[in-house]
Amino acid sequence: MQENFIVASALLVAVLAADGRRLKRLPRKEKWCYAVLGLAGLYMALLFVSQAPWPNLPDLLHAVYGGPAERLTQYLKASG
Amino acid sequence: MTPQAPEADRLSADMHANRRRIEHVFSECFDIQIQPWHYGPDLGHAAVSVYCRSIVNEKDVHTVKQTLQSLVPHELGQAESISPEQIGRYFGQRGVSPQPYRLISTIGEAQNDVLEGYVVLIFDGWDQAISYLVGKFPKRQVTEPVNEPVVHGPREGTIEDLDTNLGMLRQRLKTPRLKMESLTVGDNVSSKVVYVYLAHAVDLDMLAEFRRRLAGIERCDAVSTSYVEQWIEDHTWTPFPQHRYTERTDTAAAALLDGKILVLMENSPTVLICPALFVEFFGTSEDYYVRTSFATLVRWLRILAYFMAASLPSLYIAISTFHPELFPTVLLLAVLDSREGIPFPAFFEAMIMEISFELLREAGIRLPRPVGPAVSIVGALVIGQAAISAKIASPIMVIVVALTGIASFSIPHYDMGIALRIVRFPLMVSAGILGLFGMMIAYLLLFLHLTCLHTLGRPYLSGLAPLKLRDMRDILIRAPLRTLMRSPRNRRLNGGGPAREGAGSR
Amino acid sequence: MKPRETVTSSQMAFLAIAFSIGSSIVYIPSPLEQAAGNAAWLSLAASFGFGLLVLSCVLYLNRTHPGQSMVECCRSLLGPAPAAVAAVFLIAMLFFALPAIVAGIGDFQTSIVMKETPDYVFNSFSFLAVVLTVRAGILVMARMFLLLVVVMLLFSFTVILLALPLYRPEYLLPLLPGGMKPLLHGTFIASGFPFGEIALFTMLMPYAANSESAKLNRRLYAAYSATGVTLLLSAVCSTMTFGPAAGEVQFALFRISYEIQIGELFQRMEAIIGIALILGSYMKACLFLFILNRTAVELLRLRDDKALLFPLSFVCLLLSLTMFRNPADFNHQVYVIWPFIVLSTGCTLVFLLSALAWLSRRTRSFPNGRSENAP
Repeated sequence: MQENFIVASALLVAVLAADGRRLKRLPRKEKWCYAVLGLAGLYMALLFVSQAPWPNLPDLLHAVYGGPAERLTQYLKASG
Repeated sequence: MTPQAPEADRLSADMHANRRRIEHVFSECFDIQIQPWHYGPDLGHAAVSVYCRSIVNEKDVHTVKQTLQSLVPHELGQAESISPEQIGRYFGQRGVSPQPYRLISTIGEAQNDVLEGYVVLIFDGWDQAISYLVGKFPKRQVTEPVNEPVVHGPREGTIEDLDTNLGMLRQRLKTPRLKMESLTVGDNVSSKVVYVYLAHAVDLDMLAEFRRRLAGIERCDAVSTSYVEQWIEDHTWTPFPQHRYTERTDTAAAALLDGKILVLMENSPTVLICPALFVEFFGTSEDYYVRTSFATLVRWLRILAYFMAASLPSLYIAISTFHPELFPTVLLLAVLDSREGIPFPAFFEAMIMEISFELLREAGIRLPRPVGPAVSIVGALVIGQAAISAKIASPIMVIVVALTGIASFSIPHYDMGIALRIVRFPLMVSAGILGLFGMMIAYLLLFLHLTCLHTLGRPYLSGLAPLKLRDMRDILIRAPLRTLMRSPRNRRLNGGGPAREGAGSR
Repeated sequence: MKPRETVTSSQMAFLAIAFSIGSSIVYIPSPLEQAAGNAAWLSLAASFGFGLLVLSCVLYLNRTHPGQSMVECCRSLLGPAPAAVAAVFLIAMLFFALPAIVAGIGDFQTSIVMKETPDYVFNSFSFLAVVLTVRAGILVMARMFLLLVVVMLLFSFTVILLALPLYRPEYLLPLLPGGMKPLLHGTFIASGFPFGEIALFTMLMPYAANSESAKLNRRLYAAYSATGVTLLLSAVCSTMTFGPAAGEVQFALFRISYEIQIGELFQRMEAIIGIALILGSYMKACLFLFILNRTAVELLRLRDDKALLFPLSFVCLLLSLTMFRNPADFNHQVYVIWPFIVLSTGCTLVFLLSALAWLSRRTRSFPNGRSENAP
C-alpha cells in the first residue's frame, strides 16, 4: 500500500507539474473539465492505493453490456 | 537611394579639419598611419594619406603618386601642373585610374575603409576623398581541409579570406544564377556575411524564411558562421544540428545544386549549409566519387556506426543486466567469466568507462600537438589495462567502449557525432533502469523528438518521416549517378518541378 | 472546431494499419484458437469481411459528411442530445480500450520478460511515451507511424518466415471439428477485436487532406486488406506450429519466435517480436488517446484541444492498474465484453449513421417521394 501511495503521488505531482503553467491560462470551461477529470483521477488513485473492491469502470460496463455479452458467448460456446 | 549622411559627418574642403577629425577617431591607435604629402607649384598643395599599417602592405602605399600620375601624360616630377580642382573634377567624374578606387564623402566611410585595408587620400580644397584597396593582409594558403580528408576527390578547402572562398565557388558554378547577397554584421567587428544560393534551385519560401530570420543580425558582433547558425536555428535546446558545416568547396557546390543556402563570413573558414536534414548527415562528398557498390556498402557501415555509437553500451547494459537469456550460451559464459569479480553493476561500469573515454577525447583535442598523440595512445592503453587490472571494468566493457568510440569517429559530421555522444547517456540510463523496454521507450521518445524538429520550416526527418521510397536511393543506398542525374533530388533544378515545396514536405 | 493539420492519404493508410493491427498481431489468434480451434483462421477471414463492411460505412460517411467526425455526424443526423449520449458511450468505450492496451504491454513484460518488476512501471512509461506523442499532434504521429508500421511488419514477417521449418500443414485439419458455432464464436471475438474497432476511425477522417479524397478510399481499403492478410497469416502459422495446443498458448507469435532455432545463428528471436508488440501497442494507444481526447473536446466544445490530455492519461493509467484483477478477468473483459461493446455501440452507430445519411440523401434528391423513372 505504501509503495502504491508513493507511486500515485509521484504520478499526480508529475501531471500537475507538466500542466501547472497551462492550467492558469485555461478558459473556465476547460478548468472545470480538468477538475472533474482530476476528481475521477483521485478516485482511481484511491482505488489503486487501497486495492479496495469499490465500483470501477468494468463494473459499469458489465452492468450495461455484461448480461447480453455473456449470454451470447454462452450460446456460441454451447456444443451444437 | 541612400540617405544623406548628417552634415557633421561629411568631409569638408579643409584638409586640416578632416585630419583632426580622423586623428580624433583613431586616437590611441598606433598602427594607424596618417602621412602628409605636398605637391604642385612650390609644393603648395597638401594631401594626407590614412591607412592601417597592420593591414596593408606598406610597399604598395604609393597611391598619392599614382593619383597624380593619372592626370599627366608624362613623368610627374613635383606635379607642378596639377591643382586640387583638377583632382576633384577628374576623380569626381570617375576618371580612369590604373587601380580601382572609391569616392567617399564622410568621416564614417573613411573610418570603415581604413579598417578594411584601404588607403584613404584626402586632398586640401576637395570635400571628397579617394579610397584605394592595396595589397591584402596575408591569409592562410588554400590547402586540404584537416577535418574532412578524402581519398578520392579535390583537396581544396575554404580559408579565412571571404573573397577567395567566393572565388572558389564561382569557379565551380560558372552560372549567373549563382547569387551572392551580402550584409555587414556587428558594430565592433563590421564583418561581411555573404549568403549564396542558386536561383531556380533554391526553394523561394525557404529563402524568404531565411531572410526573415537573418533580420536583426546586423546588431550582433558575430565572429564566426556558427553565430549565424545559432541566430537562425529553429530549435535551440536540441543536441541535433539543424545545419551542416563544411570546409570543402565541392561539398558546398553540391549543396547549392541541392537547393541549399550557404553562409560564408569574413575571417571564418567554415561554410554553413542551411538547412540540413537528418539523412544528409549519413553521406559525404566522397560517396559520389567512388563506385556505386562501394559507396552503398560504406553507407550501410555508417548507418551501423550511427547505431553503435548511440546504443552499443546501452544494449550491453540492458542485455547483461536484464536479459542475459538473449546471449548465445557460449557468449554468455564468456561474458560472465570476464565480469567475474567486478564490484559494479554493468551500468556503473559502463558510465565510468564512457566518462573516462570522453575525458580522454577532450584532452586529446586540447593537448599541444607534439604531446597530444603520444599522451592519447598511452592514456588509452594505460586506462584500459589499468582499469581491467584494478577490476573496475571488465575486458568486454573495454571492447564495447572502444567499439563505440571507433563508431563515433567514423561519423563524418562532427556536430552529429556530438549529438550521438549526448544521446548515448540517457539511453544508458534508460537501459540501466528498464532494460530493453526502457531502451524502447527512450528510442520512441527520441524518434518523437526528431520528428518534431524542423529546420528552416522543413521537417528534420524528411525522407524518413514522412518515409519517401524515392529518397531512399540516396539515403539507404547510393544509386548510380546516371539515375541520380536523370532525376535529381532537387526537382527544381534545370526547371523541372515547381519552385515551391509541395505535399512532399508533410 | 476545425482541425488544422491534414494528413496525406498514404499516411492515413498507415494510420489505419497501426489502428487495426496494433497490439493484435501478438494476441491474435490465441483467443480465436481457444474459441474456434482449427477454424481460427476461417473466423478471422469472416470477421475481416465484416470489418470491410464497417470500413465501407466509415468511408461512406466521410463522403457524405466530408471533414466531419463521428460526433459531428451524430449532431447533424441525430441531433445534439442523442449525439451527446453517443459521445458518452464512445468515451466509455475508449476509457476501457486504452487502459486495456497499455495493461497488455505491462502484462506481457511482467509475465514473460521481467517478472519481478511491478506493472505500474511499464504502464507509466508507456503512457508517458503515448501522451507526449499525442501532444505533438496527428501530423507528427502520421509521420512517425509510417516508419514504425514498416518496422513492425518487417519484424513480424521475419519471424513468420524464419519459423518455416516449424510449420506442419497437417495441423490445419480437421477444419470444423466442433461445427459452425465455434467458428461463429471466433468470428464474434475477432469482429470486436480488432476488425470492428475500425468504426472508431471515423474520428480521424476529418484529418484527411481534402485534395486526396479520390485516392483515400483506395488506400484505406488496401491498408485494411494488408491488416487482414497479416493477421490471417499469423493465425495460420500459429495453427500450423502448435496444432491443437494453439489455444493454450498465450502471445502466439512470441511463442513461435521462441521456438526458432536455425543453426547457432538464428535463435533468441523473441526480442524482435517483443519490439513489434510494444510498437504496435504504442501506436494503437496513441491513436486511441487521440480519439478519446478529440471526442471529449467535441462533446464539451472546448477551445483548447490539448488541455485534457494529461488528466485523461492519468485516469487511463490508473484504470489500467485497477481494471483487471487477474488474467482470467482480463480475458473475460477483453474477449467477451469488449467485442460485444464494439459491435453493439461502435459498429451499430456507424451503420445507423450510414443508413441515416443514405436516407437523407434520398430524401433530398427526391423530396416528393417520386421515383427516378416517373414522367
